Amino acid sequence: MSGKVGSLLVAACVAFACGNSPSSPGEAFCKGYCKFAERCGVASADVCPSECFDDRPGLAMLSIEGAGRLGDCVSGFDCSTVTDDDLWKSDIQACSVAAAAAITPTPRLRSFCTALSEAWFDCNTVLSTSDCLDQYGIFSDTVLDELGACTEPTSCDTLKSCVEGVLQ
Amino acid sequence: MRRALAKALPFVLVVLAGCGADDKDTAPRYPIPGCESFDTSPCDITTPACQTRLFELAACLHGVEPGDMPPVTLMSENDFRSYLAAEAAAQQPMPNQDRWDAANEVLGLVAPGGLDTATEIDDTVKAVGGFYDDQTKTVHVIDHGADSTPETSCPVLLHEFVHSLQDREVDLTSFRQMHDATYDADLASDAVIEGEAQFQAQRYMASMLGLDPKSVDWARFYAEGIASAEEQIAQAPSPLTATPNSYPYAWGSRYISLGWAATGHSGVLDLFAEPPADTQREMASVVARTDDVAGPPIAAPAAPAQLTFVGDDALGALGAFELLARSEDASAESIVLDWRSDHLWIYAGTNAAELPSTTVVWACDFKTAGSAAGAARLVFGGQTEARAVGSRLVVAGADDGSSVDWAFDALLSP
Repeated sequence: MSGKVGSLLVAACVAFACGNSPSSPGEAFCKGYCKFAERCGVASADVCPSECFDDRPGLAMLSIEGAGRLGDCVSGFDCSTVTDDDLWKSDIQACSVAAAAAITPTPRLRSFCTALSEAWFDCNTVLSTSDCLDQYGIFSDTVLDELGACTEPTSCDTLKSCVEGVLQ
Repeated sequence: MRRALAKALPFVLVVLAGCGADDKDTAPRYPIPGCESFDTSPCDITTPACQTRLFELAACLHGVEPGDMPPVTLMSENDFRSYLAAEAAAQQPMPNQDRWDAANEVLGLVAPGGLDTATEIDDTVKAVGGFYDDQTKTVHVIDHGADSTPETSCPVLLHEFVHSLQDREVDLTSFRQMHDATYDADLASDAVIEGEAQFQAQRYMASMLGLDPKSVDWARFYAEGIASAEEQIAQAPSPLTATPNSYPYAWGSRYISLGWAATGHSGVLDLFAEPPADTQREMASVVARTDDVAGPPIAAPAAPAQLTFVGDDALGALGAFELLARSEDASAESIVLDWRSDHLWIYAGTNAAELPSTTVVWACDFKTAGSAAGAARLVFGGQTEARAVGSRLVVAGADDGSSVDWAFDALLSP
């Protein structure tokens, strides 16, 4: 349940075109993405970077390192992911987990994960601190701060809706 | 009343999707108070080293020396299904089982077809993480494929190890037989068995997950667990089959937790020597264990000559909750805490078409007339009518629609 939210959100951030706000995490991701897009004939080198981050404002929720590792992972995708939406989503999800696992957790992330795991545990929902590190490790500090505010004890429904709200 | 086919550990099956290699598992792991020397990290339960570590930890949590570890098997879902089918086939049918089934349907406690063995086995296979067989003294952990990870399997194994330690001290088979006279007493005593095993598994789980057991808001944890179990019972098509998989764990673990700090293992042994006689006592124990408030028994009504007495039982406060909760009215929980005594009678008859019919009568005394009236308003579903006079509620019905006024007259007359 909740543990999947982070990974699925990343898939949504990356998969769907949205507004127009280029960012450093966007650039970090798009460097890798454009290698894939050019190789598979989806976009040309001259327009890809700008289209990539113009179309994906959700990338701003990621840390620069997280977005970069995600982009590196995408650069190696098979071209069949261009036409297979389900494959694209599952591969992106796998990349987000691998990217988070490769990042050294910061004290801020560790403290956030302790609070979040404890908040879910109080609500009889299981999220280990290590799983939390894997799932939230690619997000920016700003997003972690917003998510951290969700862990203040109120009610379990509030916790769930707050986390979902931040990640949407 | 009919029980589920095996003991479940539903809580531990609420898990996240698998998350790959745990090379990030360098977060500090907080020890469990009282068992500080034990490593609580998750491990591969198929290895002897992991099993031994968890057994020794279970013994420490329970408060005894470990002694010999019981045999442990990993059972596939298919093997578990076959095991349950064989167990069901070997089970002696209860006398008048069809009448009991019909009575439960009249009350709305079981949906039509809700007691189908194949359905029950399927539900059990999905819900159960493991079980301790007190005949063979063997612990079985169910392999749920990709859903079984060290983080889900370790608490299951520890929970079942606690049962093996309990069995060594109190003989679980005899304990169950001594306290199964009514549905209410059976659930209340099962809450001691499952409650302690679940309580120890929860202490372990907090540490295993990387949390500090001392900083967990346990009161909130139990409140949320019970709220979730109440919802599960209220929404189940057949509350009677859902309850044994939730009540003993959710309410039982809270009940055990309330005395653990003061009395520990000896307090648990006291509960095994004299378990709560009814579920009201466990349900009302929210911040401290409460005293027994059970009132005097309710005398049986005189049934019409054409009806034959089939059997009787007591549903208790939890059974009352099953009858009221489907109204989804928030007051159901507080009303049933005002339970003081109840009794259920089942009768067989023959209707005008000479087909068998079943009549069921349930009388319940509450602390106040207000609670009885509130309960009468909330009894939901089934083929029954509910009336309250003073602090007594009577719910009665027949599966052929026959009048049950005789029961109301007998049980509600001043």
